[in-house]
Amino acid sequence: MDKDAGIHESKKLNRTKKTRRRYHPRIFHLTVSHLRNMLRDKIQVLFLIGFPLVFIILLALETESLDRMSYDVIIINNDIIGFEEDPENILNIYNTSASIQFMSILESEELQGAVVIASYNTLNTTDAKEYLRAEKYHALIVIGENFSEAIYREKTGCQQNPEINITTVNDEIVEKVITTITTQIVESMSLQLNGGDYAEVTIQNSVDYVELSVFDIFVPGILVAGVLVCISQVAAHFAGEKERGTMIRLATTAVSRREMLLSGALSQFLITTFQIILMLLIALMLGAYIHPNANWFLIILILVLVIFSVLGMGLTIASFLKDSMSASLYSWFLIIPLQVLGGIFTYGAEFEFSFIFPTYWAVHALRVIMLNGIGTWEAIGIDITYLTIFGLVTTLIGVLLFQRKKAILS
Amino acid sequence: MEYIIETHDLKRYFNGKIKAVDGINLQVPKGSLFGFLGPNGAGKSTTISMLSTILPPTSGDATIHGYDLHKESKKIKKLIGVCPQELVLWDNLTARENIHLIAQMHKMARSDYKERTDELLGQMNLLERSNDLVRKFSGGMKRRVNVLMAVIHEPEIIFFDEPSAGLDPQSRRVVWDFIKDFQRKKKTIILTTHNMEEADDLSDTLVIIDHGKIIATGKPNDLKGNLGNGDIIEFKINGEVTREELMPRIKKLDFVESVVPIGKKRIALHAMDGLRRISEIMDTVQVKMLDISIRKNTLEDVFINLTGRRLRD
Repeated sequence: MDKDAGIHESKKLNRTKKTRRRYHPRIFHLTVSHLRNMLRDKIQVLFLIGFPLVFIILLALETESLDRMSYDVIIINNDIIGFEEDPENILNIYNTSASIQFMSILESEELQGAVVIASYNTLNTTDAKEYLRAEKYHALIVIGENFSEAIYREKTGCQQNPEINITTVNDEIVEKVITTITTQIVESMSLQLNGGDYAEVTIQNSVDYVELSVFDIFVPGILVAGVLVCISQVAAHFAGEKERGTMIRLATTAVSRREMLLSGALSQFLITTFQIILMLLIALMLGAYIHPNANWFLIILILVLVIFSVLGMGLTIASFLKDSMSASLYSWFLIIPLQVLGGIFTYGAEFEFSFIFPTYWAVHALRVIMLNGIGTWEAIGIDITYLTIFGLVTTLIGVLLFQRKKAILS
Repeated sequence: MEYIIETHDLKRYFNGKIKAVDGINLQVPKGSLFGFLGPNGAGKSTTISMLSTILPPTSGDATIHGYDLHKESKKIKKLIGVCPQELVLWDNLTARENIHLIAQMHKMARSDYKERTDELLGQMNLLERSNDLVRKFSGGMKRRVNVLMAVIHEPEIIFFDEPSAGLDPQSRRVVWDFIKDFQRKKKTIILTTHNMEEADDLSDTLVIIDHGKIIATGKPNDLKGNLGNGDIIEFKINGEVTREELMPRIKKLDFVESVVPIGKKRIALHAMDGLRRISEIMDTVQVKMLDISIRKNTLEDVFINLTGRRLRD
């Protein structure tokens, strides 16, 4: 028995040595084979290199943009009212220089946060507030009638503080940035022009103000981002059908390519719609704020319009690729720019060109509907129009490309 | 004779260079079982793909049941059933659902296809598993579902592309019986295979195809008969002498009808009364012969005689 045990032990040792000797080259050869296999696939190589490049570039652009935040502001200058009627008024010495100077500083690119004044003094307060509720602008600054008089109080003898009313969109960050900048400018002017008297800046938020969390603000964007991920799903589905040969099998039956395409698109549309409804429900369960006047039909309509674009883009990708894996991976070359450049995760820091992305309009419309409860044509008409056109065009392109016999049977 | 499929100089090139099918002329009689025999890559599947309207020909014409392949593909699709070489199934559907789907694509009445599905599943011994998802099926079972999906709508012409590939002998026999049943119903069957037994057993007419060209056509027995009625003797030489030296010596024997080299070291010869004459051959060769086999000639021998290669080379 002992002898046998020794033999067994010896065999075991020998086996271990042999196994070890064989094990190393096998791993080595396998690794080399895997690498060879991957690097001989041009599509994979392109993705391996292209994806990190694009991703980093886009993130760099995005983070850079956060330093040059800009806001569209409406300014109503009431400071000039009454001066033209009384040329002898002592205030004419200074005219409305304080308010004009204020606006000039506000416009300055050098100013921290570079506030961009889109328009001022052309709207009445009611219209301006309506625009604000529709989130066409970020803030409304109303310069009070006494502004110049109060700034030059040493010379005018005015006892009042210079007054500025600020109304912002329902966003704490926007409110704080605009208020801080405005207060700093007025204080600085008071110091320079009036020997150190501080001005009081009145903050007034006339939009139905609700304490919104960052999550509340980003829910519309998250929903749109969720729909966009479905591009990958749609592309993988259609490319997978080609890969598995089921499309070719169907092509030998009496079913037309259009029927094949529509049935596939419909199934994907339903799945995506279900996913969106699920996301919406989860967001609500997590306490997302939806304005009591929010029109649910419009919320669904906006999302459905985005789904159309998603289907079109997914089909376009699938028409060029032969397998679900490639289609799924390559979709991200579309999804990421749409998410990052379309302003889904930014607010007040969109790029100048963000408006070309449907996501920009979708998120804007959803924010207006969901957070402010507005659903008028004036508020979201342009968003719906753009999304409809984009959805139709992309779907048409996708269908035309995918419907080609070559695309289905490749 | 009424021909249900006729092709004229049918060609299919890939990327303008690779000649997958290089000018095929066919006349398939109605109700016949027409076999395509050839090695992998010979152009069999490409020919089926063209005839089943999946792949457009690069050039050439074809009519199926009188319909033009180029212009009347919709009408052709209603007449045909295609069983692809690959297992093309919806994995997350049951066997029954997969078959129903194809029936629905052909707009069959619900009651018709339900009844027919049961009948077909029974024929293929799949009735008990008919409500299981096909992803849980073995390869052989999937292959049988693959076949059923091609015939559910009772097409006039059925294309079977390697229908028994990868099947065990028992399942293969079930599929062959199934195909023969359609043959009895006077359906036209186009069968591609590189299995000579399958081609021999099932085909009325056989086309041997290689490098995209038809190299022989005829009834299997006629094709084999062309080689003569003798035996095929095949052996391997051990390298002491070259084949080039040996073959002329063997050819001189009066009972040897032909000598063909196979692969690198093998020689096949067609000899009358081969078993009795084997010692004479050994005397002539005068080298050590390895792996000697003697058999009646097969379609493989026909192929070897035509190409100098085995079907599986």
